[in-house]
Amino acid sequence: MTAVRIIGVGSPQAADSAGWIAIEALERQGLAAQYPAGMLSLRQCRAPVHLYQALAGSQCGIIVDALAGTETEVLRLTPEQLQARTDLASVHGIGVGEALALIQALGSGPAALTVLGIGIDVQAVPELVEQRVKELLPDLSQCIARIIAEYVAAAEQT
Amino acid sequence: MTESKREVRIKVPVLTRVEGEGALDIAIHDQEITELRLRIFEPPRLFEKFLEGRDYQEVPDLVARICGICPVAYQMSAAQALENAFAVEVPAAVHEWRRLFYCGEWLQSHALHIHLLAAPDFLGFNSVTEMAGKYPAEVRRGLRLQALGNDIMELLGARSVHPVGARIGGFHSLPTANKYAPLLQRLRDAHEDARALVLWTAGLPLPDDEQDFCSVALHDRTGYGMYGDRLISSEGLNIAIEEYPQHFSEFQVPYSTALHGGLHGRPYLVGPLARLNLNAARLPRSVQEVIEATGIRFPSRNMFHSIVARAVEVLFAVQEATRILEAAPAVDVPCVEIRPRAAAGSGCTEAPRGILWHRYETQGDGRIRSARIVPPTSQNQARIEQDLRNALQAFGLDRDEPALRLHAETVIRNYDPCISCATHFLRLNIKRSTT
Repeated sequence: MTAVRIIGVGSPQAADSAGWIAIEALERQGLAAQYPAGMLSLRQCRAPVHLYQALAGSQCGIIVDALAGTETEVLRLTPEQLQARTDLASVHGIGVGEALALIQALGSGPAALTVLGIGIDVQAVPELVEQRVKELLPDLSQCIARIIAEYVAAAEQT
Repeated sequence: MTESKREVRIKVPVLTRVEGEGALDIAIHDQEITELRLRIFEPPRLFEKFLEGRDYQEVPDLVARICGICPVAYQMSAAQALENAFAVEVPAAVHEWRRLFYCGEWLQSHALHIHLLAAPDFLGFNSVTEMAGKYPAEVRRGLRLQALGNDIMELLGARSVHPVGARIGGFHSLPTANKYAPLLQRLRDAHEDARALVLWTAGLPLPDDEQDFCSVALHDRTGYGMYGDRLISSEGLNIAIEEYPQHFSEFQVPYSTALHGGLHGRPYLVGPLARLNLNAARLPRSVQEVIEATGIRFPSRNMFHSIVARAVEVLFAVQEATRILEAAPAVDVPCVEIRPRAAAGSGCTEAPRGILWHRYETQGDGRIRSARIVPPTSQNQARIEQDLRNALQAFGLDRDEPALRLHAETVIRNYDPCISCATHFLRLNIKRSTT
């Protein structure tokens, strides 16, 4: 049961794979080893509704997901900001925004919950998705480092 | 005095809280529905064509991609069809593990639909997020049951979405007792959740909407079935699954990319309510006692009892999965040897949303010559349109458009349609007119 969970949402298919590819890249970078043992874990998640289970018991949740767009930086969003976006590509009944809103409504999610969006052309072929994640990986790593630092600082204050 | 001419068109451009993309158009003229179209505009997916020329062992992994909610059903219907084609008998123990796999899928799919998609309609909420504010314990229960179903699927399929554990002839591998022991304990703990769920759904303020419809389901001689070799109906049909094409037809309508299904040319119902209407007596006594406690009697002609039927099947799936894991069916090898041949075979299993029929023709080397797949939502589509006409008429066509739209969406969601197999929800367009 790690306090910090970084969860890539998606599937192996094309643009939707960005979240998963990002998690694999962070694993290769040895991200978990950069923090105290047992503090941080990385995982992939397919259906957004599974996030309830995946985030259970954590204190800081970071969701990495593909977002339709061509932004040159990783987008840092609150769950509310994600829900307010109208350009979401998720097509099924319960998307990431709705799943996170539900977790918050139940009061069972981590106190700190952030979405990191990787802007992707929804029609991008797999090679372009990998290239895009590679380009944004330094920014993604910095965002994650900042979020964890903020979480640790807040935890120390309480 | 002149009577005002009134023509109303209601358009629901995107159906919400369903799986896939659909819309609804309704025209009302002089308090009569003159046009009603459940439009499914997801592009055709052409899976049957993709399968041609592929090796038979690729089929379970390919067809699992048709649906993220019910991949096990696709795998099991395909396996049954190809095993029939190759005259393979799967050992009873392997069949039991398949039942467990299927229990996982029923559990996750039904728990998701009841709590996250359907219940908000009956309790007056726009979404499960709103509902969670007043019913947090019930929503948590739903998510627990759904997670349990997912974990059963993962146990046998290596992952819960698009699992990869099944193969023609059995499984690639089966779990050890150490691996499933924690799951067995969670199943035992879930009995009370499932029982409470049945009683809770029966207590929801469900509309009273009795209709005539024909129920169709598989008949399993040994129990309440996900499997069976015969198809039965409430109107006396009793045929081998191979005879499906002689009785059931699929036809195209101009406004939908999904085919409509007919039994002898008429709409019919598949899914939990149809199963319970035809097979309730085959449920274990302990489940029947809980149904009796609800006060609802099956067969039921109230389509809104579908949510109760789904909850009953959640209870059944929890009990059945517990029974299977407690018996721990022993197998020497997880799959039997296959000798492919040029042949044809049919398979039919009970997906969460109803019967899922497959037929394959193979070449001598086991490659697929042709494939036909009939998913439950396309079979239900004509029935949904028939239900909408009856339900909206009974609801009152003079109601305002938001009320009509909500009721139409509730009727459609009640079927748990999988538009990707055939959700997203409903764009409703209503046009009213008077002479």
